[in-house]
Amino acid sequence: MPKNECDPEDPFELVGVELPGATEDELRDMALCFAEEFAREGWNEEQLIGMFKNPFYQGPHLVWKQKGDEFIRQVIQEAMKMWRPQGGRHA
Amino acid sequence: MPKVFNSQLGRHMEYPHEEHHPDRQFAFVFNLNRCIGCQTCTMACKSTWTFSKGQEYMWWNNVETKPYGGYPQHWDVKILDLLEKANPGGQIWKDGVFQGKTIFEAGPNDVSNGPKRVLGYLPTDEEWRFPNIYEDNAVGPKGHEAEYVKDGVKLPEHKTWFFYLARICNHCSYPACLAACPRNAIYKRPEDGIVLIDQERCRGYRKCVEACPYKKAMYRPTTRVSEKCIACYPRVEGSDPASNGNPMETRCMASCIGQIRLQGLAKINEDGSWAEDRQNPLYYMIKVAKVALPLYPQFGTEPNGYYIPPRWVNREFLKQMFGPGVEYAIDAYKVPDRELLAVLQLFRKGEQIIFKYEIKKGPKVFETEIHGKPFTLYNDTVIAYNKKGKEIFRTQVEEPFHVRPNIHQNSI
Repeated sequence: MPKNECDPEDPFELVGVELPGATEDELRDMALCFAEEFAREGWNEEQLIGMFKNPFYQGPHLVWKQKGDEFIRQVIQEAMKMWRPQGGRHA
Repeated sequence: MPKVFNSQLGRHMEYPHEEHHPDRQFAFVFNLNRCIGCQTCTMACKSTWTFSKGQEYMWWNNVETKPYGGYPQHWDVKILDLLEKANPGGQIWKDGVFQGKTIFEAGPNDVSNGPKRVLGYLPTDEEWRFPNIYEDNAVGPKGHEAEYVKDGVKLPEHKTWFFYLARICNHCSYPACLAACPRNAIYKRPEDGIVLIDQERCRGYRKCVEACPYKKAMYRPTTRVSEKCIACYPRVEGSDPASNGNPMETRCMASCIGQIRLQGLAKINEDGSWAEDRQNPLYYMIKVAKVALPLYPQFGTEPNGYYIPPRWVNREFLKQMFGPGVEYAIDAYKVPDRELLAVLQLFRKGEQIIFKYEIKKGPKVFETEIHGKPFTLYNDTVIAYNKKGKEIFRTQVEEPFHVRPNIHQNSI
């Protein structure tokens, strides 16, 4: 809980402030969540990588920018192993 | 002050009126894991109900970016702060029962700005003015935030967790707006629990605006009375010309392209509890699967909007926002069971209110392990029925997946 009075004139209020939970594990959890949700929708591995590299998907893109290809590929493979264990979309 | 039972707090609490409950209750579930903050709901509501003079800053539906956004600005931080000051260190849960003070219990003891029935505050005009300022939107330089920047601006990058919180009036079981109104101009409809402001009785004292902890009652300066979300009641009644007599979901629900919203009418017992209605999707998600939770239940109004919490967000933050059921709800959502997976497919496949669903078992697709737990995917078919028991639609767990060819991208 912030202790100071809110200052509507302050453009940086709560913006860009580091909050508890912004750890490596939380970042991975968030990236895995993105990958899982889209894997559940039927996206394949290449489509998921494309999403992480696409700047218009800002959340996934920020993770890719920070952690790079290998990290993202591992996260996607984990999601695919869970939700598409036989690969691809099932009829 | 009368005592009423608040099931979300697990205990009785003080409330200025005697307990009365509707036959059915307007309720909804929003899956925050899926909200993309597109504001289609916001604009559907705006273009239906609040497009007139004096309603410029009135957004009955809004989507704000948590943790740093809010409409009006800082609404939840401010009311949480007031409660903390009224009961320092005491706003805690123990064994699913809330030990702290609700806004009704803390209100009468608060003597700042005169006596009041409900703890609250009146947001300033400035706080109402910018529904999404400092969120994902480009803003002007300091001192000129509302001005268009002609030479371009870089969007802020949020490097920490965040999520979009879509909000409408919760049509609470114990509405703070109703409790605070000195004119008894606010009432809860016995047939569907929708909370409305009688525009003839209202004198614009703004006690409802001050009292509603979710800040969903709003003052209109041109008419000098207050207004709020009416839950698109002609649609919910089935009296809207587009409904053909069948209850329909509200405009904000029906327009949700992220498919995060499902709205319905829950059957209510005389004591205010939800009557068992096992095949109602809301009853199933809220009472059986316990995957959807109320927003800030500690305020004490027993809101009827329920949220599937976003699973990547800091748990302590979520527990403050949705109460003690967060861990269970996230675990249930992360590894959904067979029925939940099918029920989640009901979101936004039609416009009519679903009163009953039925699952027809389909073939096993695969077995796997998800987050360390065994999981089997079945391609079940889920069928939705309307109030008359007529089938609205049927869909499968494994929906067909279509990708629009690139040639048609941006072809509008």
